[in-house]
Amino acid sequence: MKIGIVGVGITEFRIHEEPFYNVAYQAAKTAMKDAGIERREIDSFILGGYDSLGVGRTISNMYVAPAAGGYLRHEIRVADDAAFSIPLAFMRIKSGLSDVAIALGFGHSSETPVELVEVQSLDPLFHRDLKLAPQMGYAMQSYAYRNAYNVSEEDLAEAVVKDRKNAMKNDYAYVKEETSVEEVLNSDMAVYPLREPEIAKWCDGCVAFILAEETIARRINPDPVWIGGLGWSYDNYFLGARELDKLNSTKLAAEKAYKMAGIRSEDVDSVEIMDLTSDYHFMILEALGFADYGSGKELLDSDFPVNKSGGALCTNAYGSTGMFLMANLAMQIRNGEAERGITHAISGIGQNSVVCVLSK
Amino acid sequence: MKRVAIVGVGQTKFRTRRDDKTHPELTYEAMKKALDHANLELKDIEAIAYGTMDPFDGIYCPERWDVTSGGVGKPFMKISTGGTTGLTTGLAAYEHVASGMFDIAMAVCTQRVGECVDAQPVLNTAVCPIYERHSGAGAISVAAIQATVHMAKYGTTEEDLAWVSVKDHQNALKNPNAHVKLDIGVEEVLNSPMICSPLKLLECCPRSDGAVAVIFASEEVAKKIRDNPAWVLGEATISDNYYAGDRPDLSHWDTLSIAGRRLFRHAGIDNPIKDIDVAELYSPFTIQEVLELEALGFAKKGEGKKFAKEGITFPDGDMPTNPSGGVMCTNPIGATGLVRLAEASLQVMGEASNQIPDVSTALAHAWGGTLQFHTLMLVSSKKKL
Repeated sequence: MKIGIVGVGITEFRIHEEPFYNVAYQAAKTAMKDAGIERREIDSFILGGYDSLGVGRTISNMYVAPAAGGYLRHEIRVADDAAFSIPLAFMRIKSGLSDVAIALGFGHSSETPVELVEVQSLDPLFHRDLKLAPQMGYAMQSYAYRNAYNVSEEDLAEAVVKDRKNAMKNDYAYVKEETSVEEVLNSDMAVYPLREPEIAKWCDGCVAFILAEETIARRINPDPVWIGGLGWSYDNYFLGARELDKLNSTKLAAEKAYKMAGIRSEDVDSVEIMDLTSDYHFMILEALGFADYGSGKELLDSDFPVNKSGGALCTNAYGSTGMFLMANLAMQIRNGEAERGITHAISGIGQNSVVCVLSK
Repeated sequence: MKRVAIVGVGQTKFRTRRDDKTHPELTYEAMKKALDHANLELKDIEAIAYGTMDPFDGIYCPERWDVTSGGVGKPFMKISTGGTTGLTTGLAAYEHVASGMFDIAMAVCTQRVGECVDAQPVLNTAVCPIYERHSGAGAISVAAIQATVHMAKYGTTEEDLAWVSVKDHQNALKNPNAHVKLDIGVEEVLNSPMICSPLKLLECCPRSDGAVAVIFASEEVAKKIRDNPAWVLGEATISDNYYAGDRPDLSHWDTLSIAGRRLFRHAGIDNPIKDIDVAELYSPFTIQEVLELEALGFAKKGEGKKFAKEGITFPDGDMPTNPSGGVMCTNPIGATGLVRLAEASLQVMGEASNQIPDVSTALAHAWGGTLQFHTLMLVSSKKKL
């Protein structure tokens, strides 16, 4: 049995001032319209997004579930980046418990000071006093990565330039402003060694997918985008026990996804990665097997499409970023721009990753 | 769908505070007990579903730290759905195995309500800041409204409700993991301080620290692990609208009736009180056990109030309910739903601390939100009813 994506709904990604359930509703409604189905045809509502502080409300699915259409239906929430809800929706359909499910991701970072909230995720014994905001964790990884492999600031700036250029062509991207290597190198230092354009900016937005079991999927849409492989995995919490110059959770997740799909990295023709920093852009590509450690830069010089969406560096709604990237890849496959691609999402300070293989 | 069984259960002791252990240490304590119960090692667990409700824990996304209890390098998924979190985490782990993607998966939930000053103001931040937050809406205030409405409509008395508390407290005395252990009678309940009229102190749950783990296995693997597994016969989850004020009638829990109907149809249950031997229901307040018994068809509408008073829900009655002492005596909020499933499974295995004789089928239930969510799971010693 295969499981396919038969509907996609993406809202505007920006700072949303209106009540946020309206945005979630918009994503769900757009996905249903895209699939040509009604709410009553969906049996399971699988939500993805952070809780409480991350969206300003405790039990955030309380207000998102009705907006998603979950009234009197099966509804559950994966409390992480919404891309992690895809495996749960997949398993529910694979179990035979669901025929048609919606997976809806919500990210509302403008509701809270995310850095302050994230500090509360640190354990109170060892890390909290360090007041490590996520960007500070990323900076440590960047520092380790640059030193381990002598990666130049110019090369890293090019990753930003390329994402920004791609975002200009993406209607859904948040940051739409082209830049140059010089501009990046002359911009303010945010957290050493990361400069301001090298770190993803927070925004708000929702994404929804309609997923269906193979035979039903073909009735809804003659050309579904199939989910061929999924892998998700966690790395150690303690930064001191991690290899900071590598993203091992991504590597493990990718291995599982490739194995399930029966493919290798050479077999894909488009990639969407959650590059929260310029260094992550290379580190993720390396962990996914597209380049040797320290050589992620090679892909910038090739024609291989990475982040045609503009990546997380241009669109990062805390909670729905991974699903946003996945939606972009699904559209590329639908439009014939790609045959088989992989999407990646990451959370924590690079601690948890999910990799998904999508194909025609 | 692959047939799935519960093959191991582990619970920590639940207390007001578990200052003796850190978050991951507490998680590991439950995991280790479940592994020992199933005679498995950590390496045998292929995937983990983890549940908690961050706001009550004084730590945000505690799964990142808790993964060090045994999840590093494994697929590890965080579930959070309010009061139903424990049971939806169990459901997620069940789906890991039912899908055929994994042979052995663990659900583990950890909660430290002792870390927050007061759970009710925290819960109040879940409701709409414009319409409902200022009313003080939380778990106890909505339960008090349920009680008031039920009393007005069906003549339910404070004494009727007190019997539910007496039954739960008597049961908890036999459960070594239970948090509140008080040998009390109806008089003590009725004379306890009023918390939120008409609910009195001894009609309300405590806030507990603790963890629970449940191991799910595919049919082939389950048979090798133990000869008395608890087979999962079905599940149902339902989600209502956001506003507590929009519930049509608080004297009935209609969403639970709908979820129960779906589960029973799927599992082939005609007569719940006959086909189900034990129920572990999420009743942090006395009135809620009454509403749940009625919603699930164990009692007719308006007659659930008599069940405790007449001994029907006591261990030797026709419908033993919450023999573990229930949520009334132990409530680690985001883990509580999984405790229900753990206790229901132990009853089916014949290994519960307050074992009811000859149990073959048991029901686990959790509710969450401000009366918004319900989750149900049915387990049995039989593969099919």
